[in-house]
Amino acid sequence: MIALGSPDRRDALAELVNIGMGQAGDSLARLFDTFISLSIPRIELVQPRDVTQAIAQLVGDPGPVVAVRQAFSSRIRGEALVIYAAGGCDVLADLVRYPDVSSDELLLEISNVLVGACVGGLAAQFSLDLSFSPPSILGAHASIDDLLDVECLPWENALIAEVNFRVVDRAFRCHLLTFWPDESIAVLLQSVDTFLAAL
Amino acid sequence: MAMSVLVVDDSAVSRKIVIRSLPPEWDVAVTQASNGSEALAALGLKHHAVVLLDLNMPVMDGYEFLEALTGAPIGDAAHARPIVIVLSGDIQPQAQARVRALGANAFVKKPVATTSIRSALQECGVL
Repeated sequence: MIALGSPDRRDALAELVNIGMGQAGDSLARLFDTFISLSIPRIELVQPRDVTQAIAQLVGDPGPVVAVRQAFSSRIRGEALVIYAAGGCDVLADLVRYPDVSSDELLLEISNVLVGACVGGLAAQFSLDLSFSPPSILGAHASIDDLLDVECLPWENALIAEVNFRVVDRAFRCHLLTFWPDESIAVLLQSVDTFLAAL
Repeated sequence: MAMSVLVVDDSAVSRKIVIRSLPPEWDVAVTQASNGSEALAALGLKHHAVVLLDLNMPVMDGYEFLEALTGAPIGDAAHARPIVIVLSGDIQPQAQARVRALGANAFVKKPVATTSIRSALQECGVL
């Protein structure tokens, strides 16, 4: 079991995630041509058996969801999950106004934009160049409990960073969760310590 | 005499970065607050010439703070309203337009740097 240690580490991580989220929100605002409300980033350190519960707490109870998964790697690796309330997907096509694109394609495209900007933006602050896998739809109209197969999580601890994006007047909301497994947490915290030491 | 500056951000690390990034030639006395509500309380106790304001905060965010500042005179009425410079990771053009409409004097994108803060202070006629 590892711990985040000093409150400054959590604070610094949240602030770095916040800057990545701001870039993602800006990309989404341009895509939707509307104002995106950003959340306050949340950081949790969990073990695999608690991960489903942690996701449920972070996402709340949106009912059936559609989730898009994307893996990223370099000196650190991890996975990003973008979770949409199934009901909110209906307003997507309307928001984007691409008549000829399927809603799955839209979800993949939006997720790709969010993950690239948010996770890429975070990594860039540590001078890490990430490569991203193509996004894939993990659950279509699934419940939160079905999203991850806990038995298959090959790690001891995961650091979860959660942010969410809302279009207030259109009942659209999606959550972006980033999972960093064991050895990546160590690299991440080392980078955070270097960042803090420079202050 | 040192100019009184209020740094408002929920992240202690972020406040530290902002304070470290202030132009060295700017003679200031810094007070800190961790949300809009604390910032209003600080302004009630003491006049501050400049507020450096984060947007995305719990309890009372930067937008709500700007609205409250416009709504009622705060503290010593003999003092002018403080100059408010927003420092935010939310870089949407609409976020900038909204805070300008709410009376913010300048906008600086996070991550902040001494050069960007200095430009904003010059834009507001502080430096």
